[in-house]
Amino acid sequence: MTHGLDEPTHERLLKGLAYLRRHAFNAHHTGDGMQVLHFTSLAVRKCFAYNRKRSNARLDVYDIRWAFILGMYWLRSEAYHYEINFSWDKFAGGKKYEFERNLIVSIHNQLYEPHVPLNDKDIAEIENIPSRLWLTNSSNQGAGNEEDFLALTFLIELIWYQDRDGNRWRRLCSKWIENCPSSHLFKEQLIALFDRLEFQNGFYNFNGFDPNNVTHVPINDRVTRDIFEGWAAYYKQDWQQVASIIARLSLVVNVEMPSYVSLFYLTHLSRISRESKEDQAISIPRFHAVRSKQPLQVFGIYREGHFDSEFLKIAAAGFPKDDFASEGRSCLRVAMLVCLQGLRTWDVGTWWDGLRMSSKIKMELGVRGDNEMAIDGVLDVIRGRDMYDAKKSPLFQKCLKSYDKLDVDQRREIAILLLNAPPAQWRDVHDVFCKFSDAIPEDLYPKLAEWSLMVEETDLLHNHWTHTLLKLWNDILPRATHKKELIVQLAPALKNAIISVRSWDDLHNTIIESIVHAPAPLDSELCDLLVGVNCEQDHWNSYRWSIAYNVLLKRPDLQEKVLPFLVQNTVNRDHQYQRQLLRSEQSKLGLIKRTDDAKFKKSIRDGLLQRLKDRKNLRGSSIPIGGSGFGQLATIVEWPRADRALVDAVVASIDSDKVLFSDKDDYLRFLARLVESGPKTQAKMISACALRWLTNGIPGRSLGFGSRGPLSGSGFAASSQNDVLAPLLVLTECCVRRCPEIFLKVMLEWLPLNTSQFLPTYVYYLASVEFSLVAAAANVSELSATIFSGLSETATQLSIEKKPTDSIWAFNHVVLGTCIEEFTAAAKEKKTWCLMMLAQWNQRLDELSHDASPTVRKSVAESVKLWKKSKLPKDRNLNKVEKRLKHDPRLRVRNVFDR
Amino acid sequence: MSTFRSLPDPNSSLYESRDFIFESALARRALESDFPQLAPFVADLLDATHRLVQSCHLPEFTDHGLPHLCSLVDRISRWELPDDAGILPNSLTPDLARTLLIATLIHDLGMLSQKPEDLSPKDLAKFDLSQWSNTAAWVRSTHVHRLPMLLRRVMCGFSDSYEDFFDRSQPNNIANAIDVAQAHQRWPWEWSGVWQKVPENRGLAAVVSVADLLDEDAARCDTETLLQHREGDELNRAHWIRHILTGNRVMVEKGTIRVELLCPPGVSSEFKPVFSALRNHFRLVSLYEDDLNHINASVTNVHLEPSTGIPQQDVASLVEWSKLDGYANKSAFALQLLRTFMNEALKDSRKYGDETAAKLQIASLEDVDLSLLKHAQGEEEPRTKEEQTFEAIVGPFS
Repeated sequence: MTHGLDEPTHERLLKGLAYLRRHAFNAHHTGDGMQVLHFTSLAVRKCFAYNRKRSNARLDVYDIRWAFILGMYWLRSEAYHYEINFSWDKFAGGKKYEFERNLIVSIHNQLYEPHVPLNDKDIAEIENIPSRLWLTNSSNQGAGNEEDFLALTFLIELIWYQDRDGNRWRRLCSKWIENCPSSHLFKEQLIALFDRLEFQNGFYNFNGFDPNNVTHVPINDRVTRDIFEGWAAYYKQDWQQVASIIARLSLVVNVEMPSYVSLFYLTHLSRISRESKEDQAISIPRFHAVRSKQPLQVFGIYREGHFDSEFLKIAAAGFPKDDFASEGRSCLRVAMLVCLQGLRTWDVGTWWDGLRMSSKIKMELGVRGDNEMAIDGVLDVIRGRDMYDAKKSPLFQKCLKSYDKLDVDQRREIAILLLNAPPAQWRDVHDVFCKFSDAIPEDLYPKLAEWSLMVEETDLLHNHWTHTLLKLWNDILPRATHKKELIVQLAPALKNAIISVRSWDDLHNTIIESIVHAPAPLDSELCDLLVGVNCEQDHWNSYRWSIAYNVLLKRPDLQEKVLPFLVQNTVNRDHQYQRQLLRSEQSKLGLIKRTDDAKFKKSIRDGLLQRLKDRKNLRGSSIPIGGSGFGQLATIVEWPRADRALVDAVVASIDSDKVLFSDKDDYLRFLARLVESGPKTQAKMISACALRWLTNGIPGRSLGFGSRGPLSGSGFAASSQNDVLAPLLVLTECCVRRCPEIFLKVMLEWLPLNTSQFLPTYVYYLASVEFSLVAAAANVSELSATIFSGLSETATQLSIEKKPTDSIWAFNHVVLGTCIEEFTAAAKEKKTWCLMMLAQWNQRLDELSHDASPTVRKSVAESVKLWKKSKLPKDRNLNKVEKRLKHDPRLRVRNVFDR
Repeated sequence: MSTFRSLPDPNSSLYESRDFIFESALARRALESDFPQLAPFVADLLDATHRLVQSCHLPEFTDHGLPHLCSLVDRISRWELPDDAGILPNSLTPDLARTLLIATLIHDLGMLSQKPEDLSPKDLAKFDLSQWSNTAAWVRSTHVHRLPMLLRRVMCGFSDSYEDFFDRSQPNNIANAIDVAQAHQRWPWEWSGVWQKVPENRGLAAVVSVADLLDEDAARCDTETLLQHREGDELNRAHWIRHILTGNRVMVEKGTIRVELLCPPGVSSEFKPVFSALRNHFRLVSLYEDDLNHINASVTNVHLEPSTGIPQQDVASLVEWSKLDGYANKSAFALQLLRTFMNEALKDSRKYGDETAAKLQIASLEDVDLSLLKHAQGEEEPRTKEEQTFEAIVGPFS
């Protein structure tokens, strides 16, 4: 017995939709996004099923627009998005409701491509609101055409998000305000939206928390306004004010209120600075407990979950550049919607959550070629106060390099943006400026200096032991065109830095440059300040001594200011090295009787011999810092005459297993110096020792080949990097150049099988040895030269990805430096191996001139400069590279050509 | 000189109800027993019920307070036995009358309180309130389970001397009354425990259940006011509306009950299943026949008007039913009402076991067209109430 259920009719369907719509809006108003999506999905699917069966008399989009609009407003995952795409064509749509349809399409498009601004054509289609929309009053109870007004405001938010500085959203919003009859409730809402977005533009431009601006903040609700004032106080680091606002708010906000979450973020994130007495181990679980009961917050948690799952999908695949576009967009979309949600309720904490998502995905996607997106990710890190974690991430460091890839106007714009940042972000901005450094356009330096002065003077941590916000000048000041003016401008901050002991390390080069280039009498004043600080700690004083010594080197005219300090600080036995350096410098300046060169060398020789004797039986750690001074000193002096006793003593020390390994570093370098500058017979003797060490190892510690040396055929354990292998390779390189006959054969046998073991860790040293072998073989055997050049290419190729700079330095050092004559001659004779090697490097330099790292580009610039100065054949490409690098964003790269 | 007017006594309805109950035949008979402190106990119990209604009654529910209790006590007091054997209370011993009175007064006490602490440790895990998204549904499901501890908590709050009432080792305990009251949530074949081995106890439990089952009429609640002013969902509204469809106060007259059904205006064939279910609801009285016989209180004749189809007489106050949320058309209206019935009244054999199906045969239930319900509720995945309503409004997609 059944009464038979009727098939749905148009009328019944509309009634059903009206019912769902009412409930969907109720859920919308209570922030229950999950319920909304339940109703909208049900509506869309059922109507789709209804329409699919009918070729005419289909349900119009107009009748179900509320489901499309609410569904997009509460979008959580891709599923609903696909649902709309999938079913859209099955709905009827006549001319009459074209505006409403275009509105939905615009929202859909903005959501679908969350990082692409809507074009003018799309906007033109929705610019004029048809008068029928104004016939029903907007109401908060789901009556009338509330969905239309929700769509209008949502679309403005989306356009604003994607083009905040542009005028599209302003134009559209103003036009709609103008359109709206003054009696209509929506007019006020639109005006409020306009004011809010205009104000919140400042959040993205880093000036939205200007305390002077807070009085104009367009918030009507008292509690929300108070919380925002708390944030403004947070941003200006006025912790007393934050504490007082929180105390006031805690009397009126309770955990059941929606504003609790917003207040919690303020409370929690200012906890340490306010020196809060509350136990966060209680506070945080309470927050989570409350959050789990608020529909809007629960929806946020679902959204975060969706973001994480999509992000992990792409992460698992290693963020391929072209695949996973949908997941990437999904992450960007969720981040955008979370940001908009936070901003809508002036909940800065939620906005930060969105920014963190946004920075994460933008950096991952941007670092693969979209430089603007990468930098936007970096800016979102600062906006979302996520610097503490981000700084540790290699991704963040990579993205910072994208700054160099932007054009000068973009770089200027971003730097100006950051200069607006409120006090809470100053240290983050400073960290970023340290990386942007000399890529910041030069015309901004005066503004940058102004900012430095302001933040140094007013930052709340300026008395802090570790504080300095002047590090950004370390790479700028030595290279800036108008450094004198900058130094004068920065003088008050520099003076403060100079009297701060910690700065002698952090700002070592900046202080030197400041004193050296400061106009009189500022230079003297800075010197006086430096030497006048009372500091007994040797560690810090060594930096000060270094600063003063460098000043003396570059500005001998300031000797009166720095010399007494320098002399006074080299009186004790631990400062022999410094004392000798200083005496040498004084002698050059004629300040003391010019020491006989032979006498000077003798003093070093005697000192070194004495030291070898003293240290022979030491294995402990009671050696004073800087105690190896004679060893270091010996490496900077020419030793043209044979000195068998000294060589024997040094070799014996290296062979001793009772001498500290760290000393052997200096001894090997000293031997290299002897090979370079001494007689051939002595070089041969040392070369034989070098070969022995290369074969048998050096007593005392493994070189990484068990108990033997590299040529023993034992495998290399890269993990056992040590201080001695590098100087041994330096010595080998010198020996190869002076005494090739000892090495060519043995290296020809050994290198092809063992090259890769050292790479990329020792690429500089090994490549230098190989380049030297190429040059040495050039005069002996064409075949050997060809083989060695091939090996050098292998070494380069194996290392260029990870250590491009080391490879270039080795090329510059040997091919364009120590062995340039051999290579020039070979090129002149059109030796194939030589021409091929040069062609490969030509190409390589071209490619590396695009590298993200300024250090790499700088070494390429040095290569190009050396090459152009040489008599080596020059490809046209080289001019191109030179031209490019002369316009490099980095001063350090451009300046290579000025020197 | 002005004089102060005295404020109306907020407890006046309590006093009226108390008088009404104490004056009832059932109470009079009960008070003849030599049970100590019975009168103050009943008075305090009514006081406690009144207070709970005032402060704790969930808005979603129909009345479970004093009017409902008065109605039940009245129905039992005027329960005419077959064969001109007089009224039920007079045929009972004073002790049985006492048990019946207390059981009647406490049977729905749990509906007026919402504290999980009244659940036994075993039930606490089974009915964890935090896992229920709807407190009203939890209250309804647990009200019988919570009764013993709730009653003790409430009554001992009045006087420590009531402790003995809840001590089974004491001669004057009311454990039997509690067992009888708790039985109203189960069918007679589901009753278990020592108490039900005594035939008279089963008879008393059947009386409480039948009296409660018959308390279906419009007097149970002010449907019109509830619809207009009380917060609630479609299902709550359907419960309120259902009462208005029973036109008369249903009493037991010499083994017969007479029910006069009314119809909402403008409905037609869609409502056939609703009235089938409503009639079945009254027919379920037959299931207690054997147990009522233990105390010679059988109800052998259920007279329903109309006995088939849809009533002719309309309920004028429901003329605007289509304006109610979730009642957009007749199908939706019918669905909401169908959702208020027990599975047994719906004769929905999918939802009860074979034993119940066999027992139901005694009741001669009419078949109910469940196609609307099945369509709305779905046959695979459970649906939300809004989804069910939408499905009912729209109808099935072929």
